[in-house]
Amino acid sequence: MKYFRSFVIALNNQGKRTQIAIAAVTMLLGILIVTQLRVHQSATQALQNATESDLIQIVSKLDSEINTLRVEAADLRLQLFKIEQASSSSAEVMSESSKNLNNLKIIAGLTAVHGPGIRVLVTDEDITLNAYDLVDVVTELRVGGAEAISINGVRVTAGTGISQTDDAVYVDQKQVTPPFEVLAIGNSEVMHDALVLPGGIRDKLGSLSGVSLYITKEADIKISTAVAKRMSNK
Amino acid sequence: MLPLIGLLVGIALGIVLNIPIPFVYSKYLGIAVLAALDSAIGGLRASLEMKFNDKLFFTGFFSNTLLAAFIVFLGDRLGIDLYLAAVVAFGVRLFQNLALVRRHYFQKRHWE
Repeated sequence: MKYFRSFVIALNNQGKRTQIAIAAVTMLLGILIVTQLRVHQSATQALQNATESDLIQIVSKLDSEINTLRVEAADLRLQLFKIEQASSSSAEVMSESSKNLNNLKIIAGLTAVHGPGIRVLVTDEDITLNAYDLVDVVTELRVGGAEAISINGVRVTAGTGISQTDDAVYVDQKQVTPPFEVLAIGNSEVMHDALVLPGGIRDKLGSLSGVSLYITKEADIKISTAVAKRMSNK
Repeated sequence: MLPLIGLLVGIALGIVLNIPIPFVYSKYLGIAVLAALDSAIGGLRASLEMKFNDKLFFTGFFSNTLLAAFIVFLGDRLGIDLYLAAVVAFGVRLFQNLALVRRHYFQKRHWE
């Protein structure tokens, strides 16, 4: 106590400037401490002041969030497991990619294909049809899900051009003459429906003079590869 | 006695003014508290050592606070808890200064 009193006296004996300076800073310190305490308290009180139902809502919200995240995590883990398994068995990968390759070959017309489909015979006695009508037929078949199409034995692929000079119609620079026989492999029901739709391609072409469409579903249609010329061009 | 009175006045002012500060900035405020505390105890120590210089004292207080605030800001921007650097620096100095004040308190010859 004796020490303390003389200590305080010693402090008081400091110059006025010293005391005022330190006092100014301690005053600032006081303001800061009070403000900080208040900010902190109000932050922690945000949850304390929430009503019970609010808290229940918050908790249930967080719970459902946790659940969805858990499900997502399980999903991702399963995916990871599957991918790991797939990568470990390279034979599976090979078969998968060869299947892909096959599909791409069919699309590109590199392989001869056969299977169920439909045969569309378009007669044109007065030569009224033009290349656009054939394109329409092919488009309708594609919409119907045709996997392979040919016109008078010429394979129609994504890169095939159907063109016209005067009265002659060319498919990939090969002249085709009526009657046109359009073959398509795919779901014959869907393709048939696509063609006979009221106001569709059959009604449109059938109304022209000398033109009629004969649509038959076939169990096994054979379509050859695309023109050899294209393959030799490579 | 004046510093103690200043502290009390400051607390009273803080209660009365009730300065609203968003929670986001409470980190800055905490650093400012530390800086002020550091300056106050440092000043106490310097005055006990009879080498108190008010210019040094004030510039030290403001530059320390500004630097600390800048460090906190930088840490926020960089995503690092850089404010810990300021906390540690001020904390170490606080303890050092307190130890020296204690020493001066027991070594009477300094102030008798």
